[in-house]
Amino acid sequence: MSEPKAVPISVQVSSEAAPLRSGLLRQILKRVGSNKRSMIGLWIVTLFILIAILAPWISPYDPLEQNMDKLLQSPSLSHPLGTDEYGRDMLSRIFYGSRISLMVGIVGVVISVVFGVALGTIAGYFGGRIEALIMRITDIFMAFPGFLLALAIVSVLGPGMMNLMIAIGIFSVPSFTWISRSAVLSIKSKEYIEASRSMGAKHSRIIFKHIIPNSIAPIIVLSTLRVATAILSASGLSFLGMGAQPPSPEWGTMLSTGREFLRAAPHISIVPGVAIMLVVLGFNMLGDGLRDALDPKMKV
Amino acid sequence: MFNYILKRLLQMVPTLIGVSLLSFVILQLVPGDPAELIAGMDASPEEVQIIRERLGTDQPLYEQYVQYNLQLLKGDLGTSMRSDNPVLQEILERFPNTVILTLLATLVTVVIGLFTGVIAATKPGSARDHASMAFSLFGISMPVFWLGIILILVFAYYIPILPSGGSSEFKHFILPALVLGISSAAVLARLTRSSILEVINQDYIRTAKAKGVREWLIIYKHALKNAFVPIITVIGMEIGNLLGGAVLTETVFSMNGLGRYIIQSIQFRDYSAVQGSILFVAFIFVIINLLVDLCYAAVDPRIRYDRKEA
Amino acid sequence: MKRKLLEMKALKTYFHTSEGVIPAVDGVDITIYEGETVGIVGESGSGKSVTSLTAMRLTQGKVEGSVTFDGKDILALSEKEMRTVRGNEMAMIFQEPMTSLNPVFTIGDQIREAIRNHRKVSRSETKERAIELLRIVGIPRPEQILYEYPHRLSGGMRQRVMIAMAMACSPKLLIADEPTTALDVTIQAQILELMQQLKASEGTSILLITHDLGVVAEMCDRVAVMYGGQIVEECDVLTLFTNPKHPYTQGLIKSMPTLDTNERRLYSIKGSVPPPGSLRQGCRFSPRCEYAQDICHERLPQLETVEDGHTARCWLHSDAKEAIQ
Repeated sequence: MSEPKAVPISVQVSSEAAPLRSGLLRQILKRVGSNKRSMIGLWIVTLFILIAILAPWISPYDPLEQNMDKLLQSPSLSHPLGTDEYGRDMLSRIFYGSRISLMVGIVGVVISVVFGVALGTIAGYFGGRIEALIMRITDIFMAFPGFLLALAIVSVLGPGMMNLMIAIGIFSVPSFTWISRSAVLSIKSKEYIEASRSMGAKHSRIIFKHIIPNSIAPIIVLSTLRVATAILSASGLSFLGMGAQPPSPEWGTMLSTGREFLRAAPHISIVPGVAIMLVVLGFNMLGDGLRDALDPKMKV
Repeated sequence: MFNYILKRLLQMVPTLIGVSLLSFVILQLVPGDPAELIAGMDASPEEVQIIRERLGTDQPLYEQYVQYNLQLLKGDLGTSMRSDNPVLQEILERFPNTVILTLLATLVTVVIGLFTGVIAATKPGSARDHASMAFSLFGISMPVFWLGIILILVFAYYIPILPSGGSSEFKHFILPALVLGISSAAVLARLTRSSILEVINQDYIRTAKAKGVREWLIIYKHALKNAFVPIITVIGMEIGNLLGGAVLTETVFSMNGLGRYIIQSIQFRDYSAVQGSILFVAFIFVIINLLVDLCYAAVDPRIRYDRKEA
Repeated sequence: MKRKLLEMKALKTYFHTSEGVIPAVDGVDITIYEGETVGIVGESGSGKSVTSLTAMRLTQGKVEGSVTFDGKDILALSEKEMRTVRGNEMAMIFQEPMTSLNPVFTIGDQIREAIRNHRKVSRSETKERAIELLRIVGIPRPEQILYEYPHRLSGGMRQRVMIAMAMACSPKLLIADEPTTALDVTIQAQILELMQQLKASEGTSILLITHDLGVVAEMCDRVAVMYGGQIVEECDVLTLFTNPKHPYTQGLIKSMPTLDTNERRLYSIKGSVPPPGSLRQGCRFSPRCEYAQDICHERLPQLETVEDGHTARCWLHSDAKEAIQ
């Protein structure tokens, strides 16, 4: 048997520095694919995204169209999920509601990621006073439970979809700050960063070329899980009247108005809740699966 | 140990200052002039000015902040714009209900969560492990307010054995505590499971086995005490979430607690009540965090003596 | 004639993993007599640790073959019965003293637990016995150490505590899995000396797992060399160093640097240890063996007696070779 030949140095360094190239990506996709839980999650999420995108085409009725002679009807063939207190078709309202929930959740988390990762990376990379300041503020925010924080923000800004998105965007920032700082700290100490620095690379180059690609894994996992939290919180805030206002078909709002008719027409409250649970379940399963696929020992 | 407590108490101070500053800043961000809001639409400019002087909002910001802190130190959390009563008094009337709810919910969380986590961790990969984790997954995905509504449907309407609202008697607390508790139990179950699994693979568990310690003792004595640190962290975090969830639960079950008070204050634009409540809640959190830290020290001797060695 | 204390015959330990079935221990025979110190030598991946864990039934793998301890069929015991053996008649100490003690309980608690598991004694008696044990293993101020937590002790001290716990019930057999590997050299010597003393005073037999030939030279009466999950040579310690037969053993001995080594380069056996599970036909050492012949690559040699009390698993020293060819 012959010994393996020595690998040229340049190949070694670049393969170290860009670990998210095709080989690793394929491996990750394979692991996600083989994990049943994450596949179910992926299907659920995809299903809801499709519903949200195609809502105008697949809804049998106009979600805002009132029908005074069809109030509070139980599920039937013509209205598979029944009608609400204004005679509006529940199924269509659920479909349109998915647009709201998904948009708030995803946009909210995107905002959080942008700000959180920026703050965390700066804190972790530059260290010293900057880090201390950023982390102290983050700690104060993290000491508060997320939902109350979002509530406080929305109460200041006033109700409405836009403000809801902002509130959701802000309340996840501390988590991303924390996690990207941890990731940066653990990568900063690796040798190839020192090698880069000694070759004279600029800070921004090091950050974008080495640090961010390597810290992406926990960020992806956290993003998925935070979308789940965001959707739950957003519907909770809407339930309290802080988010989307009627007649908007937001699931939380629907649940809230349905309370009045709980005895007569429980489906008005039950159905949106099931929708929320399914979509959140989907994102949670997907997030779990991603976490297992990327690194089972990741502390997210 | 005493030094540790002292150190933690001192660390509380900047956090409290930060929170009061934050609270002050947030209130300043509210659009509109509070004096005008109170005076109403048809008030004359003079009337508004009188109210402004009374509120102190005509002073420069710096002075307002100082006044604000002085008031805080005296325990004055402002006056409700809605009822004209001191905010602190209104909070204290309602806070006990929230406390009882949260404590009961914590009990439910700890009992169900720990138990589920332990039975999952002791036979990883088994049917009971998968069942526990499925329960946990559903539990964290379910909206708390929806679960409350479902339970009201089942236990107050279909099988009318429990009340659907109110907070004057103990039985009013059963359903809400269950609802709140189950959501958090789901989170705790997962964490307990992974924490115990991690501990079980440690060398000192192998040593215990080699000494001939009984299986269940290994879990409940050797493993659990070590697994406690992350578990306590989660319990601490969950108490925070429980207080947050209390807002939703109190609304669903129409309970007279601090959570519902906050919501009502927001709906009525009673900003001083909101601000006072936020401060109060933040203060409670800081205390809870401190207690959680003390629990760590009680459980893990490494933290007690010398942080460095932990 | 000394009594057989531990006898492992045709021992196999398998693990089912996602990559297939891995036979970490693949047909091992070891006998330990009363009062002996037997060493198992090998590199990582040879299966030596798993062998010792199997003797105590501390592995998750599937076990075949037989393990007889003091006349008892260990593999047939119920878990409850096995618990009465562990820590009592057979005790074990491990490689990592830094992580082998439970960090949240005091030293005293842990030693006293070792006693209470197997003896019905009062609290004050366990306390006295714990202090006595700490004294025997050479820990200063035992009355105070009793109330200390493990993280306050150094690695050497912790290992002494481990030994104290293991000896608490005067076991007949002490299994030591690389007890000194994680310790500084000077502490190593102290721990080994302690073990010798205990053997002399208590009459305990020792099964010593190690990769360090220096430790073997100092402690063992007989030695078994393991490679690829099997024993490749077994003999008394003197013969091991003066007349090793198996090429692997010879390689090991040759790679030990000595004071009169004049070479500029240290000898090392070329190639590397195969990961467990990558089994091949023929002798497992053949890919790395200088003397390998065709038959070595094709057929697995058996363990055969080379001289009195000396066995080796090698075609070069096999009588059967001629019979096959």
